[in-house]
Amino acid sequence: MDFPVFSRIRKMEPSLATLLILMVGAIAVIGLATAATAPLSDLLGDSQWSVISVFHGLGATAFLLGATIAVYLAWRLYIGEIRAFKDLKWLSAFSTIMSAVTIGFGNWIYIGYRAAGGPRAYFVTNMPAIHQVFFEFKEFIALFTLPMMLVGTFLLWTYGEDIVHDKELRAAASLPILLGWVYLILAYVLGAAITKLAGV
Amino acid sequence: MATVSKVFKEDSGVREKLPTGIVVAALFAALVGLLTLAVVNVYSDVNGAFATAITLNTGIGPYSGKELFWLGGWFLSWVVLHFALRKKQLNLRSWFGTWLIGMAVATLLMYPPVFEFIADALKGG
Repeated sequence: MDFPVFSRIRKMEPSLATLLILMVGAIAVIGLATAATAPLSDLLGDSQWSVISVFHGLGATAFLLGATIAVYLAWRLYIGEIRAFKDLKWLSAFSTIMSAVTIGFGNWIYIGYRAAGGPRAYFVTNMPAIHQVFFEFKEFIALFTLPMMLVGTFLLWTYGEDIVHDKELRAAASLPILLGWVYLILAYVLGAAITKLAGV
Repeated sequence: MATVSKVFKEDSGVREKLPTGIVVAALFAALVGLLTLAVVNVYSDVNGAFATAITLNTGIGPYSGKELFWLGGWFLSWVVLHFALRKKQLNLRSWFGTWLIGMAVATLLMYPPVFEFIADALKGG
């Protein structure tokens, strides 16, 4: 038996409504689980950087969610099978903004990382490779996300839907988004691992 | 399931309205910014006085100046390249390939073992 709703969901690319429901749902599940298992003060920590680090982490997570869906749609564009072109335009713009916001909070939290007695001092003393290789790579590679997302967004908005007719233009607009997502994953995973070893 | 490639024919007509120079300018400006960041990063490792000079904020150290060079190199080159190339039809395939190679180089130059090796070589170490 073919139910119209399920049939439509199976065939559709993400619409903005679907994406919104997905993101709100994911955040709600994570929020409920954390609120139920840990008091807020324990969750945030008690350092003076706790709120800034939460904004940095949440910004990166929202960026990751938006960019992951954008990269799927960018792939659909690359192979010439996209339907939800407007969703890609808006999600790439969202990803660009979240990249800038996350880098901004990253700069702010970096003050805490470098402060006397902060994570950098701990790593340099106990695990120098963590700072000298992984953190330094993370701090630079995270910056790569912004130009990649902005270039993709700029091309999608400048050329508009006509871009779907031109194979080379499709590649030029979609591959920077894919590259930006790869840089994001690198920075996100390294950031999470470093925070687990020694947070601000 | 019908696909766009079946529904719409491949057509490069959009290039008549918007030449490909705009694409090349945007891609290469981003690359110029990232390569500027890589060069400034290596040089600040080589020259301590330069690292001090680009410390615009003591909290985040030389990273502040590196970001300024990155953003400055990126946006200034974008303006220059955009006005230089906006009316030109360029071979997108070859320029895009060159850009991808440039991005691989920029990424490698940001990997600490690589940029520290270069900095040590420049210092004579």
